Order: sequence, then C-alpha cells, then structure tokens
Amino acid sequence: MISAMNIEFYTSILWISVIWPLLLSIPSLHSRLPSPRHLAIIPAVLLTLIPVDTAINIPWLLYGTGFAIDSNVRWILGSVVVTWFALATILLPTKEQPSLSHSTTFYLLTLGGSLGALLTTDLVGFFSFSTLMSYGFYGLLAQHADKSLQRAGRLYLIFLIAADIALFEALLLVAFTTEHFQYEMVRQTMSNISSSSVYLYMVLLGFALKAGIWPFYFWLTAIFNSGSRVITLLLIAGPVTMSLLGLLRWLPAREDIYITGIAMQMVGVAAITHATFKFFLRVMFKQGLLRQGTEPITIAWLLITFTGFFSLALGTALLNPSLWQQYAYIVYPFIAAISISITILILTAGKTNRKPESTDTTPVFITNIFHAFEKRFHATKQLSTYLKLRSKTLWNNSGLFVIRQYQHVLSDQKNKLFVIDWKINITLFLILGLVISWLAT
Amino acid sequence: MNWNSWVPLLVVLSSLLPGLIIFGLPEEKVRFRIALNLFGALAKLVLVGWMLWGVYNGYHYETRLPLLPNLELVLRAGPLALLFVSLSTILWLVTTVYAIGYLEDSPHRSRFFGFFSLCVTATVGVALAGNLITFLLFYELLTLATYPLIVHRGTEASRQAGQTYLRYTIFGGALLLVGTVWLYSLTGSLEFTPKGFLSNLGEEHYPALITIFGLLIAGLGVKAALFPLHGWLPQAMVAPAPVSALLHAVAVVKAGAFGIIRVVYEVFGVEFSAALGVLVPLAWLAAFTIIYGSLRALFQDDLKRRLAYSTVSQVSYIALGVAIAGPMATIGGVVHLVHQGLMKITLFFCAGNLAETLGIHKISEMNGVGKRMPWTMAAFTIGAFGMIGAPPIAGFISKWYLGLGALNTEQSWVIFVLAGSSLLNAAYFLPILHRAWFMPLPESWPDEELSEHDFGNKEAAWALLLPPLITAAMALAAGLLVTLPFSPLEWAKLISVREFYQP
Repeated sequence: MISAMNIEFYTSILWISVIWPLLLSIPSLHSRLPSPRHLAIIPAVLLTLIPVDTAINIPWLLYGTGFAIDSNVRWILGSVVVTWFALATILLPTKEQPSLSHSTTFYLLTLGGSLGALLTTDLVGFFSFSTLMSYGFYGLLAQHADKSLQRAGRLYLIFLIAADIALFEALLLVAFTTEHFQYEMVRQTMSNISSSSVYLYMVLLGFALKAGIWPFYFWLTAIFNSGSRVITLLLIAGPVTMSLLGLLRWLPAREDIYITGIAMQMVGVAAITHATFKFFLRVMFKQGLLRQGTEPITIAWLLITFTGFFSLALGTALLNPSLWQQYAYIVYPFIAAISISITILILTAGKTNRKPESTDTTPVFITNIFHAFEKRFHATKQLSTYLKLRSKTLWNNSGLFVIRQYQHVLSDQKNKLFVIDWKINITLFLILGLVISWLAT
Repeated sequence: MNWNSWVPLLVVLSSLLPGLIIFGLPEEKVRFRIALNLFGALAKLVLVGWMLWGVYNGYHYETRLPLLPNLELVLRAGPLALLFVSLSTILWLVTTVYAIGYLEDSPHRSRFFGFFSLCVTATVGVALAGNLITFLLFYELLTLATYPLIVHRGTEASRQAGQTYLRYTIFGGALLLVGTVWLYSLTGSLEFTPKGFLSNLGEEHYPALITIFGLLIAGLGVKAALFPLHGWLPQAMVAPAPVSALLHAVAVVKAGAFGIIRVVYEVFGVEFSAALGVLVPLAWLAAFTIIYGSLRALFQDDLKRRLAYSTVSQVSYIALGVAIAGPMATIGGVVHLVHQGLMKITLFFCAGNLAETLGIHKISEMNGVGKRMPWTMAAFTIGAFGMIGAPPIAGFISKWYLGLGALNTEQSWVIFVLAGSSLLNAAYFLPILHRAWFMPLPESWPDEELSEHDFGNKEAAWALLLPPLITAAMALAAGLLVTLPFSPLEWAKLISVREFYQP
C-alpha cells in the first residue's frame, strides 16, 4: 500500500526535479553552492528510483500543464540521468578550470529544459521546455572557446529556429482542433481528422531538424567533429533524446498516410546506408579502429544510423498503426539504449578534446550567414556601399567568392569532392528504394 | 452622483493634480517631487485596482460632465478601458521610479515630471473615454504633453525629432477630427457602444462611412505607427530612455492601437466593418507593416532605432488581430496591447541602462556586455525572446491567439506573416544577444560612468536596475501564469466575451 504521504512525497519530487535545476541556474545561487551540477540532478535520480507511476497537474501553469512519470518515461529518465551524472562528474572544476560558472547557467537551463520536456504531459509544456533546453544548449556551444564549435552552434541555431516555427504551426493546428493538449488526446484527435497531414509534416520536419535526423544532420556532425566530449554528451542527453521522444509523443497514428510512412522508411534506409557507409569508410580506411581509438565523428555516424532505424520504425508505425501499438513499448527502451550506448562510446573514446582531423563537411556558407548578414547591414547604407562590400568580399576571398562557395558545398576541407561519395550513396539509396518498393508489392 | 460615478474622474485627476503641482515646484525640491510622483502613481494604482475588482463583479463606473450641447465628456471603465488603464498605471509607476533614477542631477526635472504626469493623464483619459469626442480631446492632449518630453534634451536632433513628431501627429489629429465631425453629422452620436452604432445606417451612406473609416484609421495610424505613417517614431528615439519607454509601451503608440480597437469594435462594430469591406485592407496594411518594420529593424545598428522599428512591427499585431475579426484574433490583438507593452518597456529600460552606465548606443558596441551587466542583459534577453514569440514568455501567447484566430477565420496567410515575423524577430534580436553574452569583452566601453549609487556588482543604480527586472518578470509571468484570473489573457477573454462577441 502506498500511503497518501508517500504520494505527496513522490509528486513533490516530480516537480522539484524540473524546478530545482532551473532555480539553480541563477548565477548568484549556484556560485554559492558546492558542485551545483550534481545537486541539480539529485531529485531526478530520486525520481528514477520511485517505483510507482506518479503525476501532478499544474492547472495555473501555461494552458494547464502537468508532470508525470510512468514506466516508459522511466527508461528515458534513467538513461538521461546517467548521461547528466557523467557530465556533472566530467565538469568538476579542475586546477586548469577553477571557475565554470559561466557555463553552469546554460548547463542547468539545458538540464531543466530537458527534464521538463521529458516529464511534462502535454504538447505546450513539451514545446516550452524543449525550447528552453535548445537555447540553453546553444548557449553552451556559443560560449565555447572552440571556433568550429561556435560555427556548429550558429548552424544549430538556424535549424532550431526553423524547427520551432514548424512545431509552433503544428501546435496551432492542434489548438484549432482540440482544447486538450495531452499527448494521448492529441494523438487520437489528430488521427481522426482529415486535415492532419499538415500537422504531420510540421511535426516530422520540426523534430527531424531538432534531432539531426538525416538529411538534416549537418549541425550534428559539426558538433561531434569539434571533439568536445562534454558538448557531445550534452547533445545526447538533451536535444537528440528529447527530440526523438517528441516525435514519438507528437505523431498521430493514422491508417491513410501511406505515402508519408513509405517516405519515412526511405529516409530511414537512406540514413542507415549513408551513415553506415561513412562509418565503415572512416573506421577501415582513415582511422584504424584498433590503433587509434574511436574518433568522435564516427560516433556521430553511428548516431545517425540509430536515428535512421528510428525513422524506419516510425515509418512502419505510420503504415501500420495497429502493429505499432503492439510493439510501441519497445521504442522507449530503444531510445534509452541509443542514449546510453552513445554515452558509453563517448566516454570510452578517450580524451577527445584534441582538435580532430578536419573532416567537417558542413556547408560553410550556411554558417557564415550571420557574419555576412551583419557585415552587409552595417555597410548597406546606399547602393554604392553594397558594391564596395561586394568587391571587398570578392577581394577578401581571393576574388573567387562564388567559386569558393560551390567548393565548400561540394567538397570537404581536403578539397576532395564529396560528390563522389554521394554518387555511391545515391546509387545505394535508389537500389534500396527499389528493394523496398519490390517488398511492398 | 454616487461614488462609482466619481472614480473614473479621480483616476484621471490622480496624475493631473500632482503634475500641475510639480510644474510649480523649484528644481531643488527633489524629495517632495518624488513623493508627489509616487503618491500619484500609487493612488492611481489603488483606484484602478478597485475598479478592476468592481468591473469583474459587474459594477458600473461612469463619469459624465457637460462639454458641448448634446455632447458630454464621458469617462467609463469598461473591461477594455480597464485593460489599457491597468497597463498604463502599472507601467507609469515603474517608469516613474526609472525616470527618478535616470534623471538624477539633470536639469529641468520639474518640467519633465510635470509633462510626464500630464502624458499619463492623457493616456488614462484616452483609455477611459466613453465617446469619440472625449477620446479626441485626450488624444490631442497626449500629443501636446509628449512633445516637450521628446525635445527635453534641447539638442538640435531632439528639436528636429520633436518637429517631425508634431507634424505627423497634428496631421493625424486633423484627420481624426474630420472623421469625427463627419461621423457626428451623419449619426448625431459619438458614444462608444459594444457592437458599434452605425449598422442602422442605410446603404447610401456606405461610401461616406468607408471614407470616415479611412480617415479615423489614418488619424490613429499615425500614433500606432502604421506604414507609411510611422516616420516620426524612429526619429523620436533621441528622447531620454524613460520617454522612449513611455512612447513605445505605455502612451503614444498604444493610444493609436487602442483607438483602432475602439473604432472597429465600438464605433463601426466588427460585423458592420466586415460588411463594409474595410477590415481586409486593414489586415493587409497591418501585415505589411509587421514585415516592413522587422525588415527595417534588421538594418539598424543603433539599438534604440532597432527597437523603434521593432515597435512599428509589433504594434501592428494589435491592428492585425482586430482586422482578422474573430473572437480568438481579437483576444490575440487585445492581449498584445499589454504583452507588447511589458516586453518593449523592458527592452527600452535596458537600452537606457546600457547608455547611462557604459555609454553604449550601438549594437556593435555591445560585445560582452552581458558579462559586465548580467542582470540588465538577463531582463533584455527575456524581453527579446518574448518579442520573438518563444514560449513561455508573453509574446508567445499573443502569437498563439493571433494564429488561432487566423485559422478560425480561414485566413491562413496570416500564419505565414506570423512565421515570417518570428523569423525576422529572431534575425534582429538573436545577434544582439549573441554579442552581449558570447563575444569577448572589449578593452574599454564607450563611456563608462559608474554612479555613486551603485550596489553589489556596480551594474547600475537600483532605481535603474529594478524596473527592467520587474517588467521582465511580469512579461514572463504573463506567459507562464496565463490561466490565472486577472491575467492579461483572462481579461482579454472577458472583453471578447462580454463586449465584442456577446451572444
């Protein structure tokens, strides 16, 4: 028998798990506490150990949100807590870094946001907390000393803004249809109306951008490529896991979205093919797996492979909702397994703070948008200034600005055209598409 | 006359009388002036709180004084009026504290605070006006009371900005006057009525009514900074920060936007306006202004000018909500009146702090300022994210209802405008935050003058630091505690249900 007092204790732990890290993120508070990162995660650790499903409604918060934990959420929470604990331990102040208070605020905001997104029971709550988490994570990227990480951060920010706009539109469609934002209610409501296709596409696009699912993985590989173990762990514990969870919670299950299901499966297959190919190529020919240890970028490709499997599963869910309902319970442990295994890989990959071999295939022109924007806005007072700026830009780039942009798009930094890789990938992708079509018929 | 019929007048007098006394005070009577200012602001707050409670429970507050034959000066506290009065009253108190800190030791403070009080008196009068003639009187008083505040510094730039402001607003006032007189000659009434008072007019008057609508909206659009009547607003940025805050968040642009709500809902009536076909052009104009303002904001390096163009864009959300014409969009538009005020005043207070403490006026000078002034920049960050529409800050709620209203009325194009605007808002606010928080500190600031009254980390005087923190917290609370009774959203819903869309 669970007494009323116990239930009260459990519900208190539930909401404190979210509020506590957010409270600690205030600099004047966490700077006065010993090991605030460990302190922040303690309620969440306790919550993982609570054996019963618990829920609390907070009707005055947002549109009446709530927090809850059940066996599915406990899987994810367990994996996330392990990662956050590892992070807190790695980030203990050292002699070289006596003060980490600047990053602690962003760290705790990311933690609070991710726990909130995980435990919240409705779409508005999830959206709010995941936005907080994402901007907190961006803060961590942007305040990092590594230039490549800052560049990856800017790229992430662009993807994040686009994703948030797509998810906001999806939320509006839900609000237009129903007044209830709880996951199950939304899944049922949006499954029963004919105009839910737009909602479906917005959700797919939004979370694919946020999770770095193929083909939107550029920011993800860029972050891994920077070689920061802390940041990659944060990426796993925060944006990636929560976005996969978001996809799971937001997607409706309908019988008549066959094409989307097929498309999702094809995306999954393409992701697996592309990422596996890149992974083995790197392991076999460039890295020498046994000699040098795992390189961060190979973990990124492994992660993309996993998210490819996830897309494949979601495609199947869209094609066959009844089958999905039978096996949906496996997905939560699957996400937890992804999170844990990638965490272990990162932790065992050795000290990866060294600058890795340059393999960044991020289109540089995208990440330069911010600088180009600012330069242009400060200089565009009149047309002649624009012309001056243009000529200056051409001059700055050895007179080959346009050619260089194409070069950036089409090549990696060794000037090796990765279109060559793409030929192979696209061929494999087409072959796999044909195979799936054949199997489907 | 019973007590309830005096309360609206007392609300107006609570700032008018202190203002008139302050005009006569010598400069050195600092404490007495501060006491008068704060007493007026607190008295108004108590009176407005009283009326809020009363109106929520169905009481009626109305003052009627004879003005002209067949025309009375009417002050009435309906739900819509109280929303605007509450905003003005709360923000006036906060701005007064800020202005006391900002203008410490500067000359002509009696003149400044006198006109400051007069400005709030006019704003409250605009809000409580029960008919178009009362509205017009206070609207013009607002023009005259704000001009001395804009030119307060007495520089050549401020005089030019003041002249531009006067040219625009007097032109707008003239249009409003012509529209009002024409309307009175047609109908014999100017009384604000929940569903308008023009729907009984015959079809032969429709062309005249469309013209009158155009005149009234153009007249109000000057203060609401609708394109192409917005030119005065970026120029008026030479005014001191408390005045900028007052112009953008409390008084002038809000008076214009509030007037548009009055004209559409309580003069023409939303259904009659739709039947006349005047709402669609208004919606397009508002949508264009939203995008135009954001695009212009992108190009500004001067922080206050960027914020000014942001106001041009954001205030048009209110006009857009009104023009979409549905209960949800109305809620979105009306609640944005409050939300935009809270967020924008925060941003202007912060801009003022940056200028006062470090001499920062340009965005390009803001590198690393978050490390030097963390509390100010934290408040700025909340305001900026609110403007972008990030949850759970107030701006998210406004955009939510505007988007929902667009879907309800099958005007999906508005969704694209909102998305585009959010994107542009992110494009012009996030680089500021990036600079402030993540760029390295410069070797020196443009003009660092630490005040004698600094505390703790010497960020700014408390009188300057507290107001933005309070308004930022309010902007956050307005989004987080959205379902609480008396939250701006709940009040906007009450307005929509009780006044505009009553069955």
